[in-house]
Amino acid sequence: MQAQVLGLSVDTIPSLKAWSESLGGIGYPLLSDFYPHGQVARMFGVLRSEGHCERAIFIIDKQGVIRYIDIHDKDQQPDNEVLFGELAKIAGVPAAKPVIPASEEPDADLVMYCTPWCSDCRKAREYLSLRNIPYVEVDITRDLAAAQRMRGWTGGKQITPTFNIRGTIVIDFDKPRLVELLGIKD
Amino acid sequence: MTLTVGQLAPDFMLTSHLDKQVRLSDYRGSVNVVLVFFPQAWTSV
Repeated sequence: MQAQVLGLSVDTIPSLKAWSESLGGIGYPLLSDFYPHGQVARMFGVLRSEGHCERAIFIIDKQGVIRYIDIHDKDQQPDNEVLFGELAKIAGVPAAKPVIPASEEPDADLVMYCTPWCSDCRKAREYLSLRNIPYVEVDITRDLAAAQRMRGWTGGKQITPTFNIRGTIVIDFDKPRLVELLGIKD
Repeated sequence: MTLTVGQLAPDFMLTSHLDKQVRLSDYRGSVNVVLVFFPQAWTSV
């Protein structure tokens, strides 16, 4: 796959060098956004108030256009398979991994579209389970057709969890909306 | 979040741990770029 990986943090160059060495040497460039502090992170909207940046991934195509944005909580890891899939889409070549067959929308009263790492998905799972509300979960990282369906509802963005309640779409873990639509007694 | 998919990525030039100046727009026309922001070295990445 033709792609250049660039790492970026607000650490100093000596700190990045030492860190790279401690890991046996990192071959791709680790960029220091130290001075002016976090300038690039701020431009990309991923500088946190305490001065560090979010764990975030931007895929930028050959024309310089942003094609994919993923911003994670600090404790969450992005999924390599998703990245490779996105890169394959941009490059216009089949993904190296076998393409998951297009799947139908599950026949259920409540379908939740999520990713393995999303913390709001985790909260939503707990919330629904505690209230014994049955739901079917769709992992959009394993189901390309489902990911496309979800993007159709969210204006092209990856927002998880997104719910389909018999045709009514709820974007994000919007508790009041779920309570209303599902008749949950909170 | 200020940027969205479909927008031009803002250009920047920074120094890498390999002591090279890297400009995002230098990759334009040649390869896709995966730009990975991480919180801090020395924490689990």
